[in-house]
Amino acid sequence: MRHGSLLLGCALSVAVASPAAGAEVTIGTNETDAVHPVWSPATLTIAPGDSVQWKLTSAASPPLPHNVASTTIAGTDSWNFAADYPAPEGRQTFSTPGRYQFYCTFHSDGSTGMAGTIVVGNPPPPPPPPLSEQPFPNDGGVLGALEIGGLDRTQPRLRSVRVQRMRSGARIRFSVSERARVTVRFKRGGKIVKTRHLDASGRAGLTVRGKQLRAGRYRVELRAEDLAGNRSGVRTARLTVR
Amino acid sequence: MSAFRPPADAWSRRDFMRNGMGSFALLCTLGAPSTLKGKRVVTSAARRAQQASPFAPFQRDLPIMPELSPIHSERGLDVYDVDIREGLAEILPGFQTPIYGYEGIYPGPTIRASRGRTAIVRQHNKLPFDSNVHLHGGYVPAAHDGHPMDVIAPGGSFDYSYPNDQDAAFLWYHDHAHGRTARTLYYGLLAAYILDDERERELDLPRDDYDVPLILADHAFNKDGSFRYAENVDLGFRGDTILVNGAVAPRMRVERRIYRLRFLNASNARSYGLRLGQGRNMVQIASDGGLLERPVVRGEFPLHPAERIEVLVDFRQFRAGSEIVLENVLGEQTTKAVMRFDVARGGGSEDARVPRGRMRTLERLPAPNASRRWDLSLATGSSVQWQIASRGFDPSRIDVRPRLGTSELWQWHNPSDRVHPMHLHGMLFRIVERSTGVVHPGERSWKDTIGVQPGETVTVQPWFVPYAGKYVFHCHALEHGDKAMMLQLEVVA
Repeated sequence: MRHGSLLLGCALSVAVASPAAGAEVTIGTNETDAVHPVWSPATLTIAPGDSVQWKLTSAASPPLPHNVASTTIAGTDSWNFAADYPAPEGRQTFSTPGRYQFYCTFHSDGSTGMAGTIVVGNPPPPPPPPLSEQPFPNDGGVLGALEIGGLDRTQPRLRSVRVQRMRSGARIRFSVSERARVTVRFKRGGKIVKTRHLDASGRAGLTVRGKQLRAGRYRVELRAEDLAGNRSGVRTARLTVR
Repeated sequence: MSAFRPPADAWSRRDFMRNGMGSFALLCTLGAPSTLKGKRVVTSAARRAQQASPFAPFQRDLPIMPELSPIHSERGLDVYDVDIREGLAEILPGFQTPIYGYEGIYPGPTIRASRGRTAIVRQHNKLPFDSNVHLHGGYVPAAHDGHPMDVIAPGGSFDYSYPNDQDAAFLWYHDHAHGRTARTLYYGLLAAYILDDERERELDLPRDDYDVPLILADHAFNKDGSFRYAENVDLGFRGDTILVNGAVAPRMRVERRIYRLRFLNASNARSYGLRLGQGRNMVQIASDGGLLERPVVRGEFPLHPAERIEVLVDFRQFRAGSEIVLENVLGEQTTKAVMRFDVARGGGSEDARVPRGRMRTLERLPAPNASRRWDLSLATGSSVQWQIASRGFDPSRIDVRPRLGTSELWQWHNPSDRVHPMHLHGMLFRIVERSTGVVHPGERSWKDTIGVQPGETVTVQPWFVPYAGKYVFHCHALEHGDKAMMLQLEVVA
């Protein structure tokens, strides 16, 4: 992206191969994290006259493709590492003090990701990067429990079922342990003659008018079903309508 | 084409923040807990420091994108007006993140359209570089499709006309200017476009507050709160933080009712495996191109970049007060938490229902009149290029010319080690065969994007309707598509 501005202290000086035999240091690849491969080491300090060898030491299978690009290190264009293994090697000798940046065009935009710096000699330290270029890693921690609470398997309970005959019809009272849909059935002679539903929570009741129930003996059945579909047992009571 | 730059660069205020206030605020934040002990004055920086990490999951309520209102409506037509511009979003609590956004927000405003009503979306490019808009999954005439070379210059405008003559579906609109979508979408140029129709309305699916678009994307941040982007042409970008509708792994308060959750993977290149709690049932009703023939119960489902999956979740099954995490089973440590559903107490009568039987009958496709194989590979020469059939994108070349109204068999063959979510513009396809196993019933309806796994060959059958013209098909891992993994087709009448 903005390689130029990041190359501090070395301006656009190009490394010149020196005939003097200095030390040679190797920069390899670390693919322990195949998503974020890095150079190893990513930062290297050498003395003027030393050489650096880039060597692909791939551990991933299949090997990740890499190359070396730089706006300040000569010769990188010709090191076509690509994904050939064993890969050819790249080598350069640095004689001019400064900071030389390099990166892999597959895994870096030039400044982040698989990017590295070679410090030659003892150039003045670069100023710290602005906050807008310093990573702010996610420290949100490890994901804990996947569920607290969970499935509702508690059956609603019907209590205190009372059937009270009125002058005309009947009144049914009950208490339900949680919000539920309560079905009330009136059976006569084994046949369902009337069904009523109501949404209830806690104490509740309903009234059935006499017009809706002919005279006779009834079996009244109540059942509650909660939001999750859990059903209570059937509670029954007797009712005689005159 | 004018050069792209990230949104941060535009803010002269940020230069000040970089060198001055930013560092000062950070010092306050770090120093606050110890220095403020026993003192009564609590600064905002200290308050921020005492809170949980801005990355802690489930701290924020799920944001819902605002719906765009038409500026003009008449019989059969709605006109919308959108500025493509820079903006600031509070994604990490206490930080402002510069973004690009439709109407300056991330994600952009949702457009809700109805079948049979044309939508004209007037897009004004107020960015300093070219932009354009692609309605992903839409049946759109070629001139309005957002072809990578059809761009709106800075300061210019374009009226995108969307006929909406297709089945109800969860579409989305996003930038598609050539070679930079990895950055423009990453910095925010994407939004939902929800199309409904009569058939869907008759199904009594959850509506309004119970019909929720969920846009997933992974991001990384810099210390000033700005988005951090690192190019990775091989794997595509991977962030360490999952955002849903622009919030870090948020929580959503749900009633004990049925919800329609519409998932869109708007990540650059990350694939998800989504699982609810301990594998609780989700009833998939739709994919990219709208309703499935029948609902499919899923305990977990994959979601590759640009794919959409819609599920119904019946929260009546959970106890009031429950907290149910939606997990990304493919995530790393900090990218497992996607969001959490907090089940509220109470609950009312439910008008919506979960469909049990047939929801639609898929159209019969004409017999394929050609068969093509597209190899997906990385060209590793001196320049980096992902290729389809050994070719990279060339806007001056047409790679295939199918006839309007016909269908073909296309084989996506992926010998590479990466997932390639292959997307066809302007048309839909059906999946015929996967070399890795049976085609899941959740993938048997209309699709516009298909995740082709490493080593896999997927055969799809595109139907070249309804418009003739020049379109593209490409990999929707954005770094791959930008680095040339895109070809052109011209549908000829």
